[in-house]
Amino acid sequence: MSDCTNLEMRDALPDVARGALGGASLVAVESHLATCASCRAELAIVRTAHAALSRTPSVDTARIVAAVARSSAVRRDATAAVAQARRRRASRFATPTRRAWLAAASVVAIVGAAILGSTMDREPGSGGLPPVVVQTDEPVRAAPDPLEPTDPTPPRSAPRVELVMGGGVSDLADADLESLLDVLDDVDAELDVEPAVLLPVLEGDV
Amino acid sequence: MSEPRRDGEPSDAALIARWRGGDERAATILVERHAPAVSRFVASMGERGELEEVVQDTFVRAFGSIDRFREASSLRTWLFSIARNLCRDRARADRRAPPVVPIDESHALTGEDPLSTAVATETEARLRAAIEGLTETQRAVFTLRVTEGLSYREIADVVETTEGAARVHYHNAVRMVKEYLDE
Repeated sequence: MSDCTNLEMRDALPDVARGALGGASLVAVESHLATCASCRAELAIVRTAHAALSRTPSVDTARIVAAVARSSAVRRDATAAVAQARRRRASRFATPTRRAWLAAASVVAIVGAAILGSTMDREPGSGGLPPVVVQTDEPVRAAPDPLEPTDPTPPRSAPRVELVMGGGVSDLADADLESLLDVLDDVDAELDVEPAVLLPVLEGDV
Repeated sequence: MSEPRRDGEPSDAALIARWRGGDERAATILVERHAPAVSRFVASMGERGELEEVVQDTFVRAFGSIDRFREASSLRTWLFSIARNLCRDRARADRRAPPVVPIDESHALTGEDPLSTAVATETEARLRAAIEGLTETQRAVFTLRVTEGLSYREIADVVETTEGAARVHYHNAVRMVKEYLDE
């Protein structure tokens, strides 16, 4: 026997079995059952299942209530203990002296973190050594435009001084040392005249 | 099957509020109101020897986390959800096959005619075996629909699925039970 395709009627069968359907809905289902053998068979199964599964196993509700009460009491005690511990912890910093120590420790921690952060922001390998100016003979070249044909002849330009990190003043040759002094003189002069021009140079190199 | 509250009895929500306020009697009323349905459901899920323990754990957990109960669903639906999770946890822990719910001879369908009683008992035994063959979800859906009369929406809340999927689970369960009984 194939299943009835009227799902609305089949969905109502458990309610019929439980005696929970009435009025026009019950009349409609009974009318359908009169002509549908599949639904009658299904209702018989549902009725048997309802009878078999509806028996209520005996449980001791007093014991359950007692267990709930015990558990609630334990939870209340635990909650109170946690609250008390939090209050104790909070009271440790309640005195003005302790609050002052805590504030001082916070300031030290923040300053330390800032110093550490600035050290780590430096280029790897710089090792925190002072900047040194060296002179190179290599000309400054713009990045090649991929759309322009490459010019095989390198452009001529003046030697350039650039600021690099690493090494020390004692490692410099005499000529380099003189170049460094010249650059420092120029920097001092420019600082007096136009500080705004110098800023991008420093930001780009450091 | 449900244990509807009698006229004049406070609602679940009112009792929960009273219990939160420290009224222990409210817990007693709630347990007495819902324990029968929860125990039927737990039994249909295959628990036997530890049935009362599961029912008790269900209520202990429910009252322990009552602050999380948002009343979007009914308290009973919420209790069924907790009971189902406990049954699943135990089944996983025990790695055991869900046993058939024991047949209580004192509750035979027709107690007068011995032959009818025998037939009814045999039919029930076969039906229980058929239900045992369902998946855990199908068994829960079938029980909640047939025994407790929950809507598909409520069943979906218990088994954590959609209303449409709950309906499909129910009709698949009915088909499988029919096929088993027709063998």
